[in-house]
Amino acid sequence: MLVTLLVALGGLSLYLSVFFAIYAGVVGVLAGRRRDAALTSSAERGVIAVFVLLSLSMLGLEAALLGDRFDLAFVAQISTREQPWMFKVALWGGQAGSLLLWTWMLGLMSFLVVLQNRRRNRSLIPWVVAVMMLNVVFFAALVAFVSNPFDVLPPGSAWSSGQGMNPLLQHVAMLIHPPILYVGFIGFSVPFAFASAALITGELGTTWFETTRRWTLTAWFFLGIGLMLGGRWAYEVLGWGGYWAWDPVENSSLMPWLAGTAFLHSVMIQEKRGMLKVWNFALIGMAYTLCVFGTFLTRSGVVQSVHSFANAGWFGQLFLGYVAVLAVGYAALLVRRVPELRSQTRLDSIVSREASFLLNNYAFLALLAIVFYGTLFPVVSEAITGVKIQIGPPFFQRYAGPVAIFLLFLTGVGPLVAWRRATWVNLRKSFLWPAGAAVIATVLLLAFGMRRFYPIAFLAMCAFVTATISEEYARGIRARMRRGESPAVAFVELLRRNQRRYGGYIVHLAVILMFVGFAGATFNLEETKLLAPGERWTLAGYTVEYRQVRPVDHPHYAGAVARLALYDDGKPVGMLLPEKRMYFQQEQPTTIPAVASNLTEDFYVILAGLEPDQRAALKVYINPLVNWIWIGGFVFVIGNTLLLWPMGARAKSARERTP
Amino acid sequence: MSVRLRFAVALVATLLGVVTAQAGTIEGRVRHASKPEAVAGLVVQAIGIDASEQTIQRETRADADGRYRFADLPTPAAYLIRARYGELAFPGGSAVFRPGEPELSHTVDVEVFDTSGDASRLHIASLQWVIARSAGVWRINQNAVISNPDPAVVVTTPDAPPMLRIALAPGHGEVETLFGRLPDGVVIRDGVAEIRGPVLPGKDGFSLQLAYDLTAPDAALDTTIALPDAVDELGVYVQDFGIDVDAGPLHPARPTRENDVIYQSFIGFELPAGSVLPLRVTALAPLPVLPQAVLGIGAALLAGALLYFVAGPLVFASRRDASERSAAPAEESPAKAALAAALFDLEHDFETGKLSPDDRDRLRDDLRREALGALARERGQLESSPAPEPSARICVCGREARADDRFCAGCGKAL
Repeated sequence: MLVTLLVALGGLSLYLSVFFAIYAGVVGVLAGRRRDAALTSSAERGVIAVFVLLSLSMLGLEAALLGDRFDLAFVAQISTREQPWMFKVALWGGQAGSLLLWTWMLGLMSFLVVLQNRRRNRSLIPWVVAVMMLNVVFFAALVAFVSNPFDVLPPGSAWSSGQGMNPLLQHVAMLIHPPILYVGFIGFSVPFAFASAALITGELGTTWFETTRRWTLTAWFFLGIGLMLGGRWAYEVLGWGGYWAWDPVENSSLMPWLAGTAFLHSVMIQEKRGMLKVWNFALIGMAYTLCVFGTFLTRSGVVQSVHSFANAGWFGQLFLGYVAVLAVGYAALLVRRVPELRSQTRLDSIVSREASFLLNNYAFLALLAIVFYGTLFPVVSEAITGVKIQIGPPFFQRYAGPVAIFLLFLTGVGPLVAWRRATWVNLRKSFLWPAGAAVIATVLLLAFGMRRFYPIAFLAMCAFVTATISEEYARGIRARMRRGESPAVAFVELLRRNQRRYGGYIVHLAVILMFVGFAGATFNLEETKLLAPGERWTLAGYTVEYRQVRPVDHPHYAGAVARLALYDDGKPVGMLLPEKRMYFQQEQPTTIPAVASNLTEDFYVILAGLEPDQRAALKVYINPLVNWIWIGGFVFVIGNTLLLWPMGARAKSARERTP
Repeated sequence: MSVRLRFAVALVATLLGVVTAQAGTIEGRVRHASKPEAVAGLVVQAIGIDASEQTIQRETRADADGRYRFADLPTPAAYLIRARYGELAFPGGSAVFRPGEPELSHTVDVEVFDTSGDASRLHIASLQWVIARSAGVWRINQNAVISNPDPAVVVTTPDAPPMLRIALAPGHGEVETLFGRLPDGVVIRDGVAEIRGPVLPGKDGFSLQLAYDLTAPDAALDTTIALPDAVDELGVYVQDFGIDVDAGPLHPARPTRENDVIYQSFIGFELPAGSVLPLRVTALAPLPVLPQAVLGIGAALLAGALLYFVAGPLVFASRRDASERSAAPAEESPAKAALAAALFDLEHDFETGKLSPDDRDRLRDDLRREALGALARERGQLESSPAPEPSARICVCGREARADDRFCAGCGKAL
């Protein structure tokens, strides 16, 4: 009875949340126009009501999933009676549930914004509430009226069990990947709302981005982790030996991340020099619009085919309309304020940190344009010519490669150059050691027989940036040691007093480690062979001995697992067990790869096929340096945690006390 | 075999529409894979049915190459071609002459085989149990397909042991078949269908459909699926009217829908002879239903409570609220903050060797000049702005301040 009550309450709350979101939005606009404290307070309470209602909806849907309410079409679609509870609660396994999660997160973030700004930004808040509620109204209405997870199956067709979650999604990375990605996507709605409010009110100073700095960084951080987890999942589950396929779904998450990265860099120029105001407003607008646009791309079916978009009916068209409203509305607000946003300051010198940040922004935008073009070209070509022309990874690698090398170069240059102006003498001194590291790396790579341009350029740039970061830390620590601090204290104080700069360097280091992994992909090896039991296969110094194949019998799937003994230069490495499964409930085959990992490379093998006489078709991928991507992921988390760690207030007061 | 023939012909006949008399031709070849000469002179039969369900029967003999031809066949009609070889009639394909179709000629080949008594390689390729509940009884349909990998028809005598066996559910009712009688070579004895052939070569050399009722109280079924012989693939489909099914070691599979009825599905592979699988079906308790009135009252209460909460500030607006808002601490001037940060960065860049002493001094002087300018501008704005209302000068600590105070005398915070 409790489940029934919660489900009923959840369905009801969803509709009520649409009403209260409209109320809060409208009252927010009135409060903003009249500058009325009572109206503002009512709009804020409307936000709290929306959050409570959406939380009740989430609770109702979780109760339905855990309570096996297969009379709901959504539950029947993504769950089964036997599904483990940790996958049952993953309501993002289907469209309606993931849209509800998205809406709830919007509600949560709106609520947190209201809490955070109870005594701050009082003139901006009504408009912030209005913009946030515009988002909530759209998504809540979409969930309530178009894709409702509480929809009940027609009478007489109730299933006693459901079809179950796609087995490919039943992986621990997929359990956390979508919510993390959503935090990233939706997190950008907060700076977007503050930027919109600043444009509406004309309060165009630094308040809007100083207030939302942590929100922006958190959103960017989570989007980055989401991208990495997605890559890790693809590598472990999809069984094609790679982690990034320039797939439209992947690209739709990468695009806002690129815009966000550009913003995080360019906003520093506004902060330090009061420049690039229009640019920053444009970038944050672009980042959030791309988040929604990416969701439209993946949810409307337009990526598969423009025809499936047409078939998506209301859903796709509403989404596209919403993206258009966001983009056009924001652009109109920005254009209206351009005269007030013109900077009075000019670049002092082309040899300055701000100049390098500006170039870095151009490079990020170029990269974004390449990804955008490559993602949308098949859709546009199909819409115009009727023929879908696919753009594969070679296009992206060809055009994004040089831009990425240039970005790496700037990552190294930026920290070496002072703000405002740097003299050539100091530049020469600063560049000596990093340039030397790049040259040494190039010579070593050439000496080891490497002749391809891209890996050499990438790895040389990685050496250059690593040397820059080391030099920056060494100089900073030395400077503090001159005040009598020990090296350890100097390191901690350096981070405490200049958290953003030195935390940022750790994030740069993470990017470098990832690029080492990406560079390794140019040497990937892929081979397939049919082996009989007892047969051996030697490739790239490894020997695989195919021992036997055994059937796998599980309540939900059946399949076969091959037992392979792996030797590296004759020394035993271990037993690998690649597996092929057929999930009965979903009628879906899956391939489970087996991987032997070390810091140099991965030996990645899949059971591609099995003959009646037990001969096994084995597909082997040797992926050099791939683990550095995941190590880079860990460093990325550490760097961002340092950046977000709340030591700013103490450091700031300490800084103010410093003579 | 004759049952299958009649069934096929009857099915096809239903497709026929308007009757128009035109002559049709069916020709083809009778083949024997290992003994081509054996086909000479074999009797070939065309058995048809017309739109008025009149049976048509023609007979001819194959020539030395096995070729045969039926001319002047009445149309529209549907025909099945079969050839007699030894004791058995081997079916070929069917030919349908539809009304108004210009094509009045069809080619149908027939393959004939020798017979064999060796049943060792026969196996049950698939066995399905389709279970539905209707009018207080369980209706069970069992469909079996037997595969024969040998290029010979396998058949044994009625008194020989059966080649393969299909067990029925214990306590089954009267067994029904498609046309009221069991196929040739099938006998049901002690709840087991015994199959003695003939089984044609191929993956579906023989098929058997059985249907019967089981009486079980309280919509619950507790029975067993016995497999006297090994089965390659077993599928159990139970009509889903809100049930929980325990199908033992069988795998739960994707629910299927047939004629708007949903079945829960279970499958198993390579089940050995002698297996006995439990099958328990119990009806789930009906879902509790909330009365509409309760739902309506709940909705009204929830919406009312939230409306009261949301509209509160408008209805009960007070001065306290407004004064709390105005007590927000003043934000630092953006220009001042930026200049302070720039001075800090300048010192850091100098300390880390990115700036020469001359550059540092020059840039510091510039920044100080800018800072002085910003302060002067701010002071000018303060002097030109009207004096604030004394009532609004309340610190967050609650202490009232004088109009010209810039800091709270109580807690020291900026006003």
